[in-house]
Amino acid sequence: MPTLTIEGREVTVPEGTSVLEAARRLGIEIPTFCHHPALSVAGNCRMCLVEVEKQPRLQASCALPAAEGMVVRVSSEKAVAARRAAIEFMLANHPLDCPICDKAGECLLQDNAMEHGLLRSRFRLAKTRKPKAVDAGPHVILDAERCIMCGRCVRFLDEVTKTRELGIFGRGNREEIGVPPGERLDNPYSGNVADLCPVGALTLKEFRFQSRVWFLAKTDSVCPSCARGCNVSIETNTSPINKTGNRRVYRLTPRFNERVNGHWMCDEGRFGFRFVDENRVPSPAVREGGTPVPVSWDEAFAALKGMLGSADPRRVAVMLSRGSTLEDLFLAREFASACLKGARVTAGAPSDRPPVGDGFLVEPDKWPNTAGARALGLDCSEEGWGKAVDAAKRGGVEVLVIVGHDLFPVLGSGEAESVLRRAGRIVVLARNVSATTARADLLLPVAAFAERDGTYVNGLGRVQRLRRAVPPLGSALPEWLVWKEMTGRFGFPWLARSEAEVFAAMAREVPALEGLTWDGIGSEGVPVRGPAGRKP
Amino acid sequence: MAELLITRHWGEPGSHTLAAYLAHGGYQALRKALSMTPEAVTEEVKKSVLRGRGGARFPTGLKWTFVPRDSGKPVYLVVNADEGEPGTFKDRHVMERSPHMILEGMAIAAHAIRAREAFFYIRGEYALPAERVGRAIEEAERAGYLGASVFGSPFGLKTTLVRGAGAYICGEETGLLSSVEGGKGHPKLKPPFPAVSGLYGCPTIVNNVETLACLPHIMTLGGEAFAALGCPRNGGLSLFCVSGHVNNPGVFELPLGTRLREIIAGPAGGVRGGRRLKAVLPGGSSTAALTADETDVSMDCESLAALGTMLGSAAIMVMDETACMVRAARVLADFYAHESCGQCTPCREGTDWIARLLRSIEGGRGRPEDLDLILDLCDNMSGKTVCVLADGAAVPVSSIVRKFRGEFLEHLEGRCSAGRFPGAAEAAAGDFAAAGGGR
Amino acid sequence: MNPGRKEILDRMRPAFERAAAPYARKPSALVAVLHEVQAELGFISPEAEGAVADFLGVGLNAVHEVATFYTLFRVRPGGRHRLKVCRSLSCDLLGARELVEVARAKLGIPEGGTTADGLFSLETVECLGCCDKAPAVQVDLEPFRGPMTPDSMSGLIDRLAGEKRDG
Repeated sequence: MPTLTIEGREVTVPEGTSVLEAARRLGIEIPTFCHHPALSVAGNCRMCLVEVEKQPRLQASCALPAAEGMVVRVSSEKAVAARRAAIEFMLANHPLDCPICDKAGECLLQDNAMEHGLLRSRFRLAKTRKPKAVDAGPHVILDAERCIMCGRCVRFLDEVTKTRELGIFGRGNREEIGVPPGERLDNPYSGNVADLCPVGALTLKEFRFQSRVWFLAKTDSVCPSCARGCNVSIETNTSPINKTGNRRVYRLTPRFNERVNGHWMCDEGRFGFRFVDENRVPSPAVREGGTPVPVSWDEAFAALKGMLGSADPRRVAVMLSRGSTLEDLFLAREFASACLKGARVTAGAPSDRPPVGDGFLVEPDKWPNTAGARALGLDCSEEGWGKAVDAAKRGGVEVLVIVGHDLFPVLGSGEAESVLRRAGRIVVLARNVSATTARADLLLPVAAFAERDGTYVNGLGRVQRLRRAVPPLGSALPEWLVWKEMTGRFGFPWLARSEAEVFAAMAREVPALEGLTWDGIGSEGVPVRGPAGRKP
Repeated sequence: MAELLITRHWGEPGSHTLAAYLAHGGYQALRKALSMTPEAVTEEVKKSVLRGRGGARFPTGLKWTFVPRDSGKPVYLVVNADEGEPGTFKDRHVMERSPHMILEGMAIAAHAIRAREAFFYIRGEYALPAERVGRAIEEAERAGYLGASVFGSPFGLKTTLVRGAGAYICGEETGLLSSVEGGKGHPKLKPPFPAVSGLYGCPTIVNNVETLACLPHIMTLGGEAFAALGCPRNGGLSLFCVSGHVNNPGVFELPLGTRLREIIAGPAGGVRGGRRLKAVLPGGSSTAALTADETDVSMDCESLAALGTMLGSAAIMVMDETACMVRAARVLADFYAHESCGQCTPCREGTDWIARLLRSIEGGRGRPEDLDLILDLCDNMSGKTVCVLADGAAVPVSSIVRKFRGEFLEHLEGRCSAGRFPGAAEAAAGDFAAAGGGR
Repeated sequence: MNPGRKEILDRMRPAFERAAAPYARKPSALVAVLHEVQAELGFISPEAEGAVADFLGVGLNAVHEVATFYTLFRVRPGGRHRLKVCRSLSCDLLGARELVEVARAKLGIPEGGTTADGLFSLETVECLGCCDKAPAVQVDLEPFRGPMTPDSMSGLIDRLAGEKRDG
């Protein structure tokens, strides 16, 4: 365990640690471009040069193993001058696209140039021209002029996805980043290269020209697209200017979580947020003589109470969703057990997406809260689901409550038709308009994951928090509030006023959550008690 | 006048054949080396004060001792025949005329470092030398001087001829290794050094063609006798290449310590047309230029270092009064810009920027601040990169800008007293595309 | 595999195997195999890159990176004869530029260009290692020629053009 001195401060590190990492432990951030903790060392940007006593040449700290007794200067005149020189060289042929470049505001080159006082260029010649705005794949746009050849993207595709679509072709100043002729940057994790790229050489089509990043607020949350629960940042723009149409959520980016997703997330999750702002159910509605009529929540609750209150509970089926949060499911469970004794309650509905995983981050289970539903004792079996569907088809269901599912892709049109035609009254709680919502006798709009606090338990048995990034659109309410209102109207009022309070209640009753606290979950989540979910 | 070692029989036709080599006592030095321990061979080479003839001039014997004895991995010997330093052509002659001498030296070196496999890396343009070396390897293997068991000893050496494909950076040790491994010639981060972790992560020694060609003579004469042929700290004879404005360009085998002025006036026949000498690059293009009155210097590492330049590859390029130094600087800068591998920022951008500034100045479109800018950029490129190509670019260019500032100032005013003032069009022609090495 | 790629692999497999034979690790034979392609097809097309990638079991990426890095490989078709004029210091001092001018005028193409009949490409290259015979020229991978003069340059072009006509 060598001990070395960096900027006058001592630190002891494990054998093999680089000077760069050793400095980090002291809170000293040496600037880098090509270095990334999850990728191999390249040492080509030459930004991390430090002065080491007794060594004549400056050393790249990312590639220099810490040695006993080493004395390192990070901010000596010589080191800073070298860093400044490296940035000036990077800026030499760099097209000053900032006014039209998506990366502006989160660009390492901008940041470092400003920090090192490089405000004027000494390069007065014609800059090297290379391909710009190249459609490199389904999601990625490539600008070879902006590229500073750090190679992070190439190493990511070599070492992490092992798909190797990008390369650095040519030699010297004429080097170009690109895909070989005839190939595409097309793999389930392609979006990560845009996060990795320190400049705007690799950007995402979905975000191109949509918003300036300094208008984006970031909220820590969790991706709802599968049981992995990759930690994400929901980035939203709710300013009255500088936005695109009525969009509020502009992008999801991965947050680092060593235990869940590392630095990455898959493309399906990354780009799967449009449903938050598009095609939403605007308000509660009651179907009267074939046409849905918007009503107030009070009227909607009254209608629901009427339907459920007058039905034989054994002829009520509730199709819960494992895409709902623990809080939603807990209150649904409490409502059903208190007010609908004998009803069929199933959380076993399959997702409408094929149950295929990739052995990396994508889980075959496309629900984010299966482990949570199980921990609450809800029936998540295929069997239970099948029985509910059959009961409906047989005409054995007087009131069918569907939470979130569009039965048409899930069951196929034929089956879906049978179910919806033979079921008595249909109540749908949904975020987005669908073929199923069109058949609802009572339609209740509920909040999307980005619009509410809540918790999921992922497939690795980790409880993680969603945080509200934007308010629910229209009159949507989080599901748990619907169940809370209903239990109240049935005479079993619930006192919890927030998701946090619901969680506290769950922690008292649900073995898997015993002793856990809302605040204790933090931004990285905590493991649940006992064998919930499968082992990582 | 010392007895010639490497070039002694070059005048004879067929000197490249095995028969000719054997007739002159070829492969007996190898036999002697194989009767010694690897350590004893290394000692002899250390005594010879042989320094790498590729350009770095690092003591060969010392370099061999960096190979760890206990790594458990195979040790490789790699012959660097990627001669690409402008002004240098000696290795080509050695390959064309005495290929067996190199192979014998290669085997001696392999024995000294306990290597059983060798890679002979020849630059792609050297088709005829590659043919000669290839045939020599076949001849030697058939006759038992290379291959499974040499002289019936436990020593054997498998030799693979590897062709480069046109990249100066593959003359850099680790760039060469990257190329042998089947990739682009990108140099690797050091440490680890090749002697510890080189080809395929195994201990590797890369030696220059001429360095290896010296080894049979060191074994035959003895280390001390070889050292005595040179001068203190610079053992033996060296192959000097002279080209440019001389009457008799060529390769001359001379003792280290011979004076530069004497080499130019003597075997190289003096400046052509009896003109005045203006400038000399003493050790290949990566060395600082010397003015005419700096040429009374001993050609050895220390003496040249004292003048702020280097022995390098001992490739002497001579410029007379008709040479335009601005153009010379530009031609040199173009070379490095074209050959930079592109891996690291200062070199990739710096070499290109400097070349373009020089083009601009050469074409009469320069600005006064350009000169100091070039010097600053040279400084910014130096000592900050993965390999020393950038330093190799900075050194000659900055030396010419400093020592011939007057000519640059003339160009800024639209004049050229050397008489060569290219039209703006020509100087502006970005002719990188012509020479390939990129799309 | 598209037809071009497979055809090339079928046709060149024996040559590829010969080139790769000395290498214990197949991917190390990449440069050697590309030399075969360059010699046979005159340039390294995307289909040829595919064939090489298939043969060596490496990614297309790796092949394209190497094919675009080295001066002797070209990834676009060019002339049957590559006229390479050295442009480094000693050759420049002794008149390399004049050789280029003669060739440009005679062939009617710019530096880096190819004649319409596909016979010649004109390239300027870095130090060939023939400074003792400066200014030097290399035609394809033939032995270096030099010292060249504007006249001998002109003559060389005539001779090569004549060979094509007769041969």
